[in-house]
Amino acid sequence: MLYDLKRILDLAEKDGYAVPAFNVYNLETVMGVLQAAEEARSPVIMQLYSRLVTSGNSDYVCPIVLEAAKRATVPVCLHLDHGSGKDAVTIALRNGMTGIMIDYSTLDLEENIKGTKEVVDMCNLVNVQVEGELGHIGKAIDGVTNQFTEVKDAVKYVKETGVTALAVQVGTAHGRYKQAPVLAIDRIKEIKEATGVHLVLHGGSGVPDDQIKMAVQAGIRKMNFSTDLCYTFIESVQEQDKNKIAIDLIMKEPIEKVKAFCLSKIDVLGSRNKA
Amino acid sequence: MKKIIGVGACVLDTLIEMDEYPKEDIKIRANNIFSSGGGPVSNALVCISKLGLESEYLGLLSKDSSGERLINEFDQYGVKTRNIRMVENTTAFVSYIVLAKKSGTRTCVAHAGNVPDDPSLLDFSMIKDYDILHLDGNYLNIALEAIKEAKKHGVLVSLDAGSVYPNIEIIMPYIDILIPSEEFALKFTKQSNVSDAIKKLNHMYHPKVLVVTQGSKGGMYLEGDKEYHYDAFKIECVDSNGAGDTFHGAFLVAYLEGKSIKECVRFASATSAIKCQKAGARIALPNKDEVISFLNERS
Repeated sequence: MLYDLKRILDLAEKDGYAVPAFNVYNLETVMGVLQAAEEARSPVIMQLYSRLVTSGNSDYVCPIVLEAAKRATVPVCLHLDHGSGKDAVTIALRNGMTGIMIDYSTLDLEENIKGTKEVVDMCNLVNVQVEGELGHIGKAIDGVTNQFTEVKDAVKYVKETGVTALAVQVGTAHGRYKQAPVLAIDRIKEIKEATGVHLVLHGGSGVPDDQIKMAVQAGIRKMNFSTDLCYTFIESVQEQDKNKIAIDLIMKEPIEKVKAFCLSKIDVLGSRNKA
Repeated sequence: MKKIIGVGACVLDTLIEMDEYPKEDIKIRANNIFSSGGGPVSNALVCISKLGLESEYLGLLSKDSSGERLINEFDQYGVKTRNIRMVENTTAFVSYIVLAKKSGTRTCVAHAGNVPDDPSLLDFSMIKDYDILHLDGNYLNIALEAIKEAKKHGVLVSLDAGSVYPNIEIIMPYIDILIPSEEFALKFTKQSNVSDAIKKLNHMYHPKVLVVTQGSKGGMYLEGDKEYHYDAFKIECVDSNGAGDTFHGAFLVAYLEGKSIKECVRFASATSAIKCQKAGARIALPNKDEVISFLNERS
């Protein structure tokens, strides 16, 4: 079942869990993610990083996801991750994506609002909803910032842009952490109460499970996992017998590993049996 | 029956037939002066109706003799007018076109009038019953509402991109069948040749169909990732006014019949060539049998 971003996040809001959003890159990662979602009866978001859209990869990957979503018995949303601008958003819409993230978080508040609003208008016209980002979520390698998203900025941003979901900076970063982060759970609660918007946590890889659970309780409704999914897949591919040459056979175990990784995150987010 | 609805310019043309284009600051008699409805989308809808498919114009017209004239002409050609709304105290979109016989050129001076681009005055619910929504870059607010309805119901959206109108980029992401003129393609993409322009348009907007028309030189289309050239038919051109509009209308008819892009551009080129052999953007339009025999004679 192909769902749009609002519909899949509304389900999570109603039932008090977070929808896992896994970054997919190829046929095998799509298979691993979807098999996990089906087995756990969990709604799932499959997302493609913006580079895959501007490079032309999404022209091949999106039809795979859309066909898989059509056959799936659980809700599936196909989402653009960190859309780099209107060009990427346009291609993503043409590829049939049902959710769009636009990331103008490095701009100042007014510019971020202006750019995001334009993308919201562009996407809403074709019934696609938008995730924005406020408070830049940087790279783990640069260390985690304590410059959390301000509640008053979030209120203004949500009101003026009309985003359906909002990625917030509450202590996470992209990539692998040098030491486990400590999330600002209170800030999540405050932003949630003040805006009512669906909140998104980026940089999910490496955040301790108990903190993720608290974040979900506080109001996170979408959580992104990219780095650890990539490591899981790549490490498994590298472990394969060098004498094997049939690609489908080589990929069997990496797909299983991706599936197992996704299942573990589904359980942490509480989305099992919610489809 | 397959059906096409259009939103775009609906113009009252005054055509002035002359041997050659007049010099400035003189008094001179024309060979003939006559008026006719025109506009890219409007002419395409007439062409579609003449080729045997149902077509409808959706939009606002001035509530005056010009508006009535335009509606009457649509009625005469079988283009549906049931959802057109007439707006009081507005003036029509008009153009004056000098057709110069010796050079075979058409020189067009137009004024868009002041019929509002206001979607709140229109109903869009009928769009779901159509197979294609055809646009020409005029009345962008109305076009956006129409696109919204079309996308909700899986109706294909087609654009005749003739000139780079201000803000036309806002509708580009939603176009499934994109057929710009060479002039538009080069100017919009800032490229110096059609081959690069077609690649750039494809990368930017991913339309399902992409053709660039080059008038009497034919044009180029994309199939898969490869671009192909097609020739225009060699004919004695009497009046090229409306040739592009005809191409679009005929292309959509062939496309809805499930023809390949190669067959669609051939059918559209033939329809357009037949039209150019006689004067008038509409009166000279052929029916389907005439296009088929034209093609059979040249196969």
